[in-house]
Amino acid sequence: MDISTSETILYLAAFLFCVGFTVVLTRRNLIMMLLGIELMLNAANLNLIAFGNSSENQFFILFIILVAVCEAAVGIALVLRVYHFYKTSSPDQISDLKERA
Amino acid sequence: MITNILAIIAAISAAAILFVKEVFHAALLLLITLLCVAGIFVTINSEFLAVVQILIYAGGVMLLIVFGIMLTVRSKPVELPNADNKIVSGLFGASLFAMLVYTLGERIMPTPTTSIAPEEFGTLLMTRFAIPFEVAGMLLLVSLVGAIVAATQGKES
Repeated sequence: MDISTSETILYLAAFLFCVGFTVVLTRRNLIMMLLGIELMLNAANLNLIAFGNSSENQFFILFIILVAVCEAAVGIALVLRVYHFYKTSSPDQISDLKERA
Repeated sequence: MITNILAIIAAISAAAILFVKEVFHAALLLLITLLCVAGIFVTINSEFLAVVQILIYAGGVMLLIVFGIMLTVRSKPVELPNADNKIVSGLFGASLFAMLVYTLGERIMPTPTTSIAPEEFGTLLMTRFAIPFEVAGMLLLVSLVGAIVAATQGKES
C-alpha cells in the first residue's frame, strides 16, 4: 500500500462519514438513521486501515465491526417496538414521553 | 487504480442515499457501498477483514435492516417524508467534509506497514487477543438476548 492509496482511502472515509452524518441529521426515518450510523462506523474502519494494516489495526477493526453488529441488532429491535407502539417510524412524530391512556 | 475505482463507486452510491425516495433503495445502495469497502480491504492486503466485512455487514447487518424495513413499512411503499431541515443538515455535512479535507491536505501522509496472513490472524485471535475476543463474544450474546427481550416484551407468549 503506497501513499496515494492511503490518501484515497482517507478521503473516501471523510466523505462516507459526512454522508452518514447528514443522513442521521436529516432524520427522515428511524431505519435511515441506523443506515447512517453504519456508514459512519465504516468510515471509521477505513480511516483506521488507511494508517497501516498491522495486526493491531485489523483486530481493532474486527471488534468495531462486532460492536456495530450488536448496535444494529438492538437498534432494529427498538425500532420495531417503537413502530408497534406509535405506528410510525418517523422520528419527528415520536414525541410522547407518557404512555397514551 | 482499482482502489480509486472502488472508492468512486462507494462514494457515488453513498451520496445517492441522500437523494433516494424509498428506504429499501437506500438499503441496497448501502449494500453496494459496503461491498466496495470490502473490495478496498482486498486491494490493501487485508483479506480477512474483507471476508468479515462481507459476512457480517453485507450478510448480517443488511439482513437485519431489510427485515426491519419489511416489518415497519406498510403494504404500499411509503415515500419518505420531506425533511424540513434538509438544507441545514446538508450545510452541516458539507462544512464537516470541507473541514476534514482541509485537515487531510495539511498533514503528512502515513506510511503503512505490511499485512499479516489469515493463518496468523487466527493464531493471534487465540493467543494475544484472546481476552478481547471472549469479551466480544459475551457482548454479542448479551446484545442478542437484549434484542430478543426488547422485541418481544409485553407480548403474551
